[in-house]
Amino acid sequence: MIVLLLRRVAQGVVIVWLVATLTFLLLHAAPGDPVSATLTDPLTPPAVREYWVHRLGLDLPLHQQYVHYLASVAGGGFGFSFPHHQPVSAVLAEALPNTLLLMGVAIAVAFSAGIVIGVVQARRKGKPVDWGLSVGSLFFYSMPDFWLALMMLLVFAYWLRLFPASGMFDPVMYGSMGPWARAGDRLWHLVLPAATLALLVTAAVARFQRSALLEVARADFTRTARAKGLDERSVVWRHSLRNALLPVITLLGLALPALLGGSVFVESVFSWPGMGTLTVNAISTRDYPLLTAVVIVTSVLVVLGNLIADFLYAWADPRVRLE
Amino acid sequence: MRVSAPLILTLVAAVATACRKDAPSARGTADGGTLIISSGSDATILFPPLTINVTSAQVEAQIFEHLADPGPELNMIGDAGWEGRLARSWSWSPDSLSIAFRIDSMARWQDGPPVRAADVAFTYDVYTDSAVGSPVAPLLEEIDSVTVRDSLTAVFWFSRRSPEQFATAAFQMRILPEHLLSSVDRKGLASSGFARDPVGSGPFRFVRWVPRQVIELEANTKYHLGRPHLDRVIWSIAPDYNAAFMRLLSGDADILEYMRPGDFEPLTKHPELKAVRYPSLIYGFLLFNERDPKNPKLPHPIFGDRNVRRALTMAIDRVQLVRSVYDTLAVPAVGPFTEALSTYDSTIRQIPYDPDSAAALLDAAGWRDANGDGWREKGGQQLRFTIIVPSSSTPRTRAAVIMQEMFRKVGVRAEIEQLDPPTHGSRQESKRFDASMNAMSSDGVPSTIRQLWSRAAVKEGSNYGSYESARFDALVDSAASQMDPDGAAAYYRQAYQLLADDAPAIWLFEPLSYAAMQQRIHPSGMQANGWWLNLRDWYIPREERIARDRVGLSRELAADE
Repeated sequence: MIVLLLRRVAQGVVIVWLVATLTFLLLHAAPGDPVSATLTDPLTPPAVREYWVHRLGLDLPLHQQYVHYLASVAGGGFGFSFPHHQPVSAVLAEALPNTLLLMGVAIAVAFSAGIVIGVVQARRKGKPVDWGLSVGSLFFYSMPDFWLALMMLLVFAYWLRLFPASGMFDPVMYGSMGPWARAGDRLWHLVLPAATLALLVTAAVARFQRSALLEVARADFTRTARAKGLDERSVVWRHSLRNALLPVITLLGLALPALLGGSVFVESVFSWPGMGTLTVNAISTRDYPLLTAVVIVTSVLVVLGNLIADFLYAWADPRVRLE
Repeated sequence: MRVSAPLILTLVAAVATACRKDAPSARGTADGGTLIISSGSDATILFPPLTINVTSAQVEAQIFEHLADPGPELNMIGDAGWEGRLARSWSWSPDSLSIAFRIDSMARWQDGPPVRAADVAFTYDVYTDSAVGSPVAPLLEEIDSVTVRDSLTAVFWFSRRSPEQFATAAFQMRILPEHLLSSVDRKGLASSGFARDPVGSGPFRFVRWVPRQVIELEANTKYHLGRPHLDRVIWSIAPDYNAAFMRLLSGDADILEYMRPGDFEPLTKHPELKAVRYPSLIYGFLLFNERDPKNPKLPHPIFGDRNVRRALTMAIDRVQLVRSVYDTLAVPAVGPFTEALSTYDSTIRQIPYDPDSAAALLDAAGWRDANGDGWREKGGQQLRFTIIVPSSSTPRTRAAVIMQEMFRKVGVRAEIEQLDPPTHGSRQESKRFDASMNAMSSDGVPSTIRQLWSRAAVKEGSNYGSYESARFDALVDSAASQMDPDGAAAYYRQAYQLLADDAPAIWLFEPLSYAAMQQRIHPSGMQANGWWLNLRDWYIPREERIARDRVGLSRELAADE
């Protein structure tokens, strides 16, 4: 078990290093640099630009910049973000928890709801409920994330005024709230962005779950469970579902990068101050250190997600051995 | 979408009042209220010497002060029309080589100590310290030194007389507290705690900054020029424009600082909202590169010829173009300036729209359609060039498409290349372009035109089109050395006329800036160099206040009141 874990961690480190190196090279191949993309005012004197280019080491040969960058990453610092005037680690520390909160809630909601919907559909195969849920899940599955986010904003924040349009908390009243009211306010602000992300994933989970359950329903062990006289609820929830979870677990590993990608739009529309909006800004300001750090963190999350999926696989299916 | 004049007139309820200072006391209102600004970007730093971002500038303008501010006329020559801020008064030496600023003895830092002349000298030292790397430092070069005559008098010494020396001393630096910053390492100032939790002497004090979410300020009840009317000002960050607009429509925000042409229609359905016009220093133009992008030592094969540039300008119907892109929300530009600039001159003679004369000029320059394919050629080379456009700008993209068609009508083939903004900027800086759709915001100082169009700025500035004219340089030098505003204006007029005649660019549009805001917000003193500069005079009448206006000051400040 430990050997497997170490092997996977080593693989992860190599993947992250490759991704970081590729990102570093591609970014430096693109026109512009953090200084010229940030000091956009043509009235900025060239001497000031040159000063910052030198201070940030952007005038060094590329291989030296790369070595400096690797040293910085190895030290856990990720370098200095010129557009933010802060160490990259500090910028990430502000944004990462917000994205993890949003993604965590979205994943929890999406997989819980998706599994339940999939089970309901499988049990009511061919009936109006199955048909209705299929149409509904296909509708959300095929919807572009930015469009769904805008529609959620329009319907629930503007027309119905049930939820706030954006942000993580009430900008005026939050300071004067008690701890419970603050938690409630945060939850209230979390609903729309988390629901948007969750809707996009729920549809996929439900469709996978339905197919897997229908497949398992024809398996020998399901027939045996029924032959033993177990009630249908026990057959589905205790015998069929655990076996039918495998494709959904695979989906969990794949959902992380998809959600991170989707969060770029969703965070932007709902002004959620996470990694998504940070990435967009970093691209437009050619913030090399920050962008590379974002890619590293993202790839670490994806590697972790897949690792977790592997362990869950082993839990769900005793035939799979972690060796 | 068409934006009709009556619609604009209906919506723009407060145009007249926005730019003048309207005393709330005359309306029987008391202090109070919350203003939520829906901002498209977060601040990057709250430390004036290193500020390069508009949200940072907006926030800092409330926390820190200049010694004096120009009035709405934005006069940068001499000190006429200037209003004291931290400085209660000033006096010139007989030879005009020094100006002594007398600090208001009532001015206090928001943490208690009085503001002293030593703070002014310290501020100059920080701005010009190479370890700080301030973009403002080169603009302070004409200041020799700043000395302290007594605790309340700071003296600026200049190497030479210049008409803009007062503006340089009074307006380029926001005064910093020495007692809080003197012990901080200069190289580390950018990432110091102060840069994210600042203390100034201005009308509002810093409360909190939650990155990419909220920046909150509260009224400084001990402000030496009188407490601001609003209790608090909050910048609520919404990077997506649609979300920001929605936030305004749903009442979650009070003001959105700019509006797109298509947003006037939805505003009509919201009687609680209004559009407020304010003066602007932004103008748009098509810049020609006069040097060959492949070999800058050679003139550009097309734009190196003044007559060809003039012909291309004649081919563009700017009135029609502005109408098509902005409808009534912009006017044709007449030069590298807007109506708000103190040296603006509407009488500059323009190259007229005249496609026939354009064709004749191109014929005379040797560009003829010899093979009858509809495009002009010369020496086997087609009259063809590429216009680079930043993909982020819808108006500039539309303008480029319309110009492409207008050029086609005179046999000129223009192609459009959309680039992301950093790439567009990089291509301009490295002069790897034929023509570029550009927009510029003037800083209100007439002489900065040198940084954009002088020969010196080809190598050491932002003269990306490499326009070179010894006469233009001489005219601007003469203008910039005139101590008399009228004399300076006369020279600037000649310089502007020369630019119009030489056509290093086609001056296209001057967008009219509109902010959308809630009716209960009563703006005041919205200036071209910053609509936010007089937020301390904005107010919300008591009878129009809503729940968030009644939150009041924090306990500590309320006790002080």
